[in-house]
Amino acid sequence: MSSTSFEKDPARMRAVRRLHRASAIVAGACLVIPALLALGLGLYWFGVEASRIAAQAGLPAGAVSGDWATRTGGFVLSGLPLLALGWGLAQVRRSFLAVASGQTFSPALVRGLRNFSASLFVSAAIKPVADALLSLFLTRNAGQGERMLALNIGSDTLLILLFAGILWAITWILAEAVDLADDLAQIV
Amino acid sequence: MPIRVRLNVMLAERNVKSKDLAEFVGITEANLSLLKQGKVKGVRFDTLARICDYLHCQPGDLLRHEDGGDATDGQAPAGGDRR
Repeated sequence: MSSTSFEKDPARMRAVRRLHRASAIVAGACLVIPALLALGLGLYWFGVEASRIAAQAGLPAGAVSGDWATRTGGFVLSGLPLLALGWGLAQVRRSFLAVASGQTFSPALVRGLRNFSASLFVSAAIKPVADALLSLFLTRNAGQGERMLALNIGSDTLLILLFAGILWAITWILAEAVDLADDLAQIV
Repeated sequence: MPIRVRLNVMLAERNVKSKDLAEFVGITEANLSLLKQGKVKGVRFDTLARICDYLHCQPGDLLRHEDGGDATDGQAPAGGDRR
């Protein structure tokens, strides 16, 4: 990289250093938050009473048995969207680590953000499916006619899908910016 | 690209070291080397001005346009891929 007027501007360099620090913090959060979410999910499924789980799932009280298999199955099914999101956060973490190490515009940044937007989309898209499967699973031992299939598509899901689409478009623009930065880096 | 960089020739004619020029211009020796080889996509006007100041020459002494893109002085064409 050439020594540019940008690199000689103290104000800009301070801003860049702030960007590096902020990126390092976000990268750390991308590691901690999925772990906390997984822990919270585990505590919920293995620590909360079955009647409360049923109420949360929109099922009648007593429809959910509190046995180990039900709790484990519930944990796995409700963890599917989180799994996708966790993968995406791991990807975007790499992007922020790259920025924190000084690679402000890099293909790694674009790749990580694009994968994150894809994971957001997948996570939001499979959540209604996972919830439906969860309701079926939780009521699998109920009598005939009492099994339930709960479908729930909320505005939050649609907003996350929209956000994922917007982020995808931004990464597209960023990819162009990376190409431009690469060209500029070859001007001395 | 039919633009040829003649910086090597100018440095040799004036018996100037790349290190000294790079230091005066304010670019790294690595970038000056890339410029000498023509493996850059462009040169900033202020870089060009500093080089001309140091070598007491004109931009036209450093750059040549050649039809067909054949090197006549052993210099590499500008804009080569350095990746």
